[in-house]
Amino acid sequence: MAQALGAIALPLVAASLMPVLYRWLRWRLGLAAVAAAAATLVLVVLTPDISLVTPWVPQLGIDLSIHVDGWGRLFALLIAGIGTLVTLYSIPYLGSREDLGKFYAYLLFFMGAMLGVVYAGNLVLMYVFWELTSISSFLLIGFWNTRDDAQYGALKAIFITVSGGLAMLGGLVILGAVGGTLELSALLANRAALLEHPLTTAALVLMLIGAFTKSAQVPFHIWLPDAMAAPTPVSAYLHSATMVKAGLYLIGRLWPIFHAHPLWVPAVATVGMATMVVGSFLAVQKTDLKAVLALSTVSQLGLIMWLFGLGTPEGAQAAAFHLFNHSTFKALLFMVVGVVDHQTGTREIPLLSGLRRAMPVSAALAAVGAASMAGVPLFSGFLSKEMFLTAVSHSPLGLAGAVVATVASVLTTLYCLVLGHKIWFGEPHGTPEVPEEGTRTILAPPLILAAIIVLVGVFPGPAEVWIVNPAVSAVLQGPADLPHIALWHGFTPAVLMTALALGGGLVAYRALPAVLAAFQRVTPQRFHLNALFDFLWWKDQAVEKAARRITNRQMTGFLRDYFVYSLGGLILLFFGTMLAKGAGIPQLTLSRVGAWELLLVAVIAVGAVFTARATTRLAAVAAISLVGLPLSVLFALLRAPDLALTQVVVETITTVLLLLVFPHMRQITVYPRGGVKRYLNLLVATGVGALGTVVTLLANGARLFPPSVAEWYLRNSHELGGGDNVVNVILVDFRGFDTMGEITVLTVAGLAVYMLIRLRKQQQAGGGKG
Amino acid sequence: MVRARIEQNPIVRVVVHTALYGLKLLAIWILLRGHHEPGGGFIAGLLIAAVIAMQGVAFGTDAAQAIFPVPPQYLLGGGLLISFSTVLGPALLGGAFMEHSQGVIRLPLFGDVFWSTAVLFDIGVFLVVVGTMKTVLLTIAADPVRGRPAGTGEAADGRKKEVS
Repeated sequence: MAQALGAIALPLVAASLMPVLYRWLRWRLGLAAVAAAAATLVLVVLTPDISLVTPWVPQLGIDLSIHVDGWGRLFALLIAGIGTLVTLYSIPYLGSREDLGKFYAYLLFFMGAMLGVVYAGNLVLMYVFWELTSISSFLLIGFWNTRDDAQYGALKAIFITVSGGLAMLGGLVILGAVGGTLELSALLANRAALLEHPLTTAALVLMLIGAFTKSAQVPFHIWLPDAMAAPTPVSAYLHSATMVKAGLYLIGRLWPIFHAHPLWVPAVATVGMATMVVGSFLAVQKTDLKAVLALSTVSQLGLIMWLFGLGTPEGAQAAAFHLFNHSTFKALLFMVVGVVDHQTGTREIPLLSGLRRAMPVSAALAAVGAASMAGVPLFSGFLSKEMFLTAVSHSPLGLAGAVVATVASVLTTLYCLVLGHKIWFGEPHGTPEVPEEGTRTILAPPLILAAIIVLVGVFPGPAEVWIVNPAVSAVLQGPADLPHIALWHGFTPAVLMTALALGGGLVAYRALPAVLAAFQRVTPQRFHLNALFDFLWWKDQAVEKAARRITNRQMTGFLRDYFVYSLGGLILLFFGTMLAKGAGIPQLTLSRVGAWELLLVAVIAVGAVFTARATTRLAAVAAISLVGLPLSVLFALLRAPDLALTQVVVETITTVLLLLVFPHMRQITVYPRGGVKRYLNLLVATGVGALGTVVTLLANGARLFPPSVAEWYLRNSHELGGGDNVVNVILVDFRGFDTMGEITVLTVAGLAVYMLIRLRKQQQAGGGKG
Repeated sequence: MVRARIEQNPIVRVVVHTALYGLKLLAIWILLRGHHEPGGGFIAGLLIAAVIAMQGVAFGTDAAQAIFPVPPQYLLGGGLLISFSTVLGPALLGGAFMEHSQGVIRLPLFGDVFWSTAVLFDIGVFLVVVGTMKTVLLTIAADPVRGRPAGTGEAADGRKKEVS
């Protein structure tokens, strides 16, 4: 338990210290970040399987609960393990010129948030961490925040992922309402009953939208290529190895509940399949190395999604294993591309050639990563890719699915050859900087990943036993007869498909220019999803324009109009509810009204009429004092000295304030007689008066808390509150929580006035208009 | 300007000057007695605000600044801090959220003095009210009037504001 909590808390605490430590450590800050990440990795390794609930908001079923099982651990290992390597890699990559305090703070913040997602045992808690990963991703994509592409990429990513996150929240709430709990373990235990509820379909659809946006599935994949504006370590970490896998994490969590749902296979498998094909099709056409990697990530995420969509244990096992392999080889490839970019000054494929002579180690590393991604035997990707092909050929789609998978794999082989062969072989030609091998520190992290890829590829046993199968049994929620992961299963259809994919890729690579030209002809150039996004939120800003039009229509600049909106709404709601519920005024218990009270009320009424009829502001202020001061006398008569005192003081200060403000305002606009606005305002004013009267009478007649709240306060004020002034005891004790909120609001209001006026002064000083 | 004329009025100045100390004492008295008799932090804060407003009218904003000579942001922050700590403190010490405690302490000169953490909470409320009112009053008073002099009703405000 302590390990799991520590693994979430340690990176978050370390993140908050980073900007402070940066002042002392300067470029050495990276070492501190590596230490924090490595310590987190140790904690993750030590975390046992647990399920633990600490009450947080028990009334709503929201608790700080931790649920660790094999599925969460697979992710936690990737998050902490690759996180450590990426942090190490970023030290030489970023050098000492960047704002490192900010960078490592965001990176560790992400690590803690992501661990929170995979360890959270309560759906709402998971949602909170889920959105924190979106926020840290936004901050990291926009790390070079003065660049246009960084701003665009960051905003696009947060628009799409947070919209999906909101959909997911809706799904979680429905699921919680249907299942009667928000606890993951309780929902999983109760899964058979859940599936029968009619609302489950809505919950499933909403949560799938959340998972698809986060994991960049078609048609939400468009944010991921633009997220490549982030520094390369971030791309390696968030946008290939971990954060984009959160959608798959959710899918794996939902698998036991929903895999038997009639919508599961069509929705998840179709989207996964489409994403795999579209991603690999687009990846081949890109000339920027990072764009190729981003779209290949889209494609590979689609592959894993498809596997989950099959709804079979075999598919889930292949998905878990490929997820692990993809994180390692894709992080490796990103790191190598980062080195290439760093050493040559460009990522454009046409400019890069023959780099293996200058950078032999990088070339070997890229070859390992590309071979694993393409599924070449003896590399880890081969095993999981073959499991993928086997699982797909067993699916109901049968031959058609196998053909689609093979075609997408041919395209995968093609871009793997570009990444692993094209830029390294051939004749070197000029790059912006003369290429030179990267330093040992920058090559060490990818080297470790390459070692893991080869080790797992040759001896898959340990990974299968310790990582993959515990994860799969957590997804399946029970032991299952899983196929053994082995290099050779005999002549299966998968062997043929692998051979076709590799061979087809090689043939296409031979004729690369012709293939690309053909692809370009069939790719839509004008009407695509990015154009739609730009139309709505970026270049044409259709959404923003529409919002501004509505706002300008409604915001007239007249306080009176705003009162009409809000008070008119209140009146409609109140009297509407009364009419709908058929409520009436109950039996009243009234005391006798004396002559003094009548006199005061008469004065107040006169004051009110004069205020409404005043044509200058000064007259209005004088008249309104005629309402306020007699009111305080009335309070005193009714034996409420606190209220009377407050009323007098408030009256005084209001008058002073109004006098201070008047010089800034123009004369009262008097609406013409007989105008619509005049009657509307009169109607609203009368309505508010009626509302106040009815509420008072209702409060007098209501006996909801027998014998009465007031009596309870009077009796218990001394004993429970320790004070004799009941009004004050209510303020500071019985209803003290309200007071706490009120003084916070008061503070915010005061600061807002200060800021608004100061802002106006600055604008005036700057020669702008107010 | 109206304000300039009032500031030169000797009667206003003398009255305000005389009333000042009494009002301040009254505010503190009302603040501390609030738990048992009419009064409390909110009223006391408003009284100080009234004092600040009067001082500002009679002697100008600089003199008003000197009434509670702490920058308003410290009043706001400090007030919230005191109030919140009496709310969260008991919870952290193992009690209930916002559980107040009280008692009587014997002081050398004053005799038996009643104390309560609720009064501490009220002092926080008092500081926040003073801070807010001081901020609002002084920023508005210090804001130069645009356009023509006041009173002609032709100041340039009140135009339709466009959201941009």
